Amino acid sequence: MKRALRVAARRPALFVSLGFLLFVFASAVLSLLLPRDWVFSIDLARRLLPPSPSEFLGTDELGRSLLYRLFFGSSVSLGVAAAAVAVSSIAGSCAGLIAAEMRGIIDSAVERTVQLTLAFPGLLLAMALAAVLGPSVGNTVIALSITGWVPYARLARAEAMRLASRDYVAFARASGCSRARILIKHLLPGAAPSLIVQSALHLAGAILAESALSFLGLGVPAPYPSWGSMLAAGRTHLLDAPHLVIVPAAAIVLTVLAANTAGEELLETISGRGRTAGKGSG
Amino acid sequence: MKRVARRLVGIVLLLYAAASIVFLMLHLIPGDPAAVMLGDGASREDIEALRHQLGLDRPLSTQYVAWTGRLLKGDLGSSFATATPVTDEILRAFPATLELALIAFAFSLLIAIPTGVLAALRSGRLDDHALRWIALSGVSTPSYVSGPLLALVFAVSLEWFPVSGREGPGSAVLPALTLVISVSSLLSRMVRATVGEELGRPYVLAARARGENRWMAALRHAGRNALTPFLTVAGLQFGSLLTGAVLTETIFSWPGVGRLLIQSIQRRDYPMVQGCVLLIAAVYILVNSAADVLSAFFDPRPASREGTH
Repeated sequence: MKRALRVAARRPALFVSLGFLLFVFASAVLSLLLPRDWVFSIDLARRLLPPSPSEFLGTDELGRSLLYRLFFGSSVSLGVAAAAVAVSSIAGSCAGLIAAEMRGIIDSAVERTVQLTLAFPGLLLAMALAAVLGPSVGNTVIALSITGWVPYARLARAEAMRLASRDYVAFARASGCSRARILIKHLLPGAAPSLIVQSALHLAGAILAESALSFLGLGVPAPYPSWGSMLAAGRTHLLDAPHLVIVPAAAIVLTVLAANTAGEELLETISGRGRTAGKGSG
Repeated sequence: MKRVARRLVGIVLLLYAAASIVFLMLHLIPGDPAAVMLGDGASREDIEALRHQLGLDRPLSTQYVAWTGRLLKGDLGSSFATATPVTDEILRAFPATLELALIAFAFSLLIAIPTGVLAALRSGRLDDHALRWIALSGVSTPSYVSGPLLALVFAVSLEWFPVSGREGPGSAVLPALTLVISVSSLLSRMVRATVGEELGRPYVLAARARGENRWMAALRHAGRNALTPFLTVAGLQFGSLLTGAVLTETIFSWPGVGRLLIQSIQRRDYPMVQGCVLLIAAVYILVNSAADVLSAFFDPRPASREGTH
């Protein structure tokens, strides 16, 4: 706890960005408690109202409150992105660690799959899949995870390969630890820091990708608000109601910026520690 | 020579694997692709006729062989929407995409290299921090955010450039600028990281000890060695410019392959979707392979290491 506070004092950007992410995630969870009427009920008499004290962020093209849509949209956008990060990180880390531990055929099979996936631009594969499977929350998570696992697999494999030759792993092996135990107790903790950094950066990428798919109408279907689909709907009212674009745009950019900053600062915290350790041993 | 041949075989295999995945795409459609394509209210006869036309009534392996054969002849089938050959329409749209990608890439390099080197040289100072924040904000601003906002300011309010379309020299400015914002930020960060790493090496210190100034040392020595990792990332970025163009072209109604892809998805014109995905994937693979070959040319180290194995 004390150490966490010291890091926070030295790295205010990390502190602020993590705090902001926590706030967005908390509001995403809380927004599920909103009465559905506030988010979905259409009132054409009140359409395209500008932001005002009584209607904080104004209303959209169907007279729905933009504040509640944005609020509820955070649970859709972040929920899909977080699910994609969870699926990708678990699948990728498992594939990478197992490949490094088993070597041989399994390793080269994982390597080939990685190469093949990297041959496609990630977003293109996600778009093609979403187009073929049809727009839905589940399909969006699948489309994002199908390319998302690759960096985790590469990181986990590289870290596990590096650690496998260490004395403590050799000792564990010699003292009769099972492969599963070595993987979970000895290799995974060593790979964890870089996997955590990757998942922060991936969260930023996944929010962008989900918004891109929803912007193109390939992601989360209407009437569920996602920040991307809100932006797409608002684009036709750029002239008469620019707040319909500016509000979801700001939500996307701020959240992605926070996740990117958090990832970058975490990376520097880790590599800074690694560098001093390297100096000490040399 | 052997290495070049092996790489060429690798590229061809990768292209073929990509084509196979694109072939399988059609068969991933839940239910009957013919029924999905025709939509609700299609008669049984129509669906059967389309199944026959697409060859979906034959076994998968026969379809695959036939598809490969037609692909080698450059035949990707005909569009459902317009009945024109897919290859013709894609080749008609491709120059527009290429134009946009090349303009955006050139300007991104022009911005990224000086700012990246500056940030690396001034590491830890105020200007480095400022550049890093600008670049990180640029990376966090997707084209579907920057595009509409640029259109709002420069096309709607100031009326400097057209809102959409591809007519006149001014029409490329806003879509290219949209792409430049994110790509130049990404590349600038990459330049800063690679040049910064090389600047800490002893040979740069030696060059400085001989009396070269910081900029010369950075460009002549560090820059040369940073070129290899930079080329790889630049290749990847050029490839993703093509995908990024899907969004940008849709936003600005730019008549390229990206907009064609989205239109075809909306019309359920699956042969056209397959063609667009295949073209983008093929260009992506070829550009990345070219970047690999180029970096091997500039830096023979990985090659000699491979030779000793």
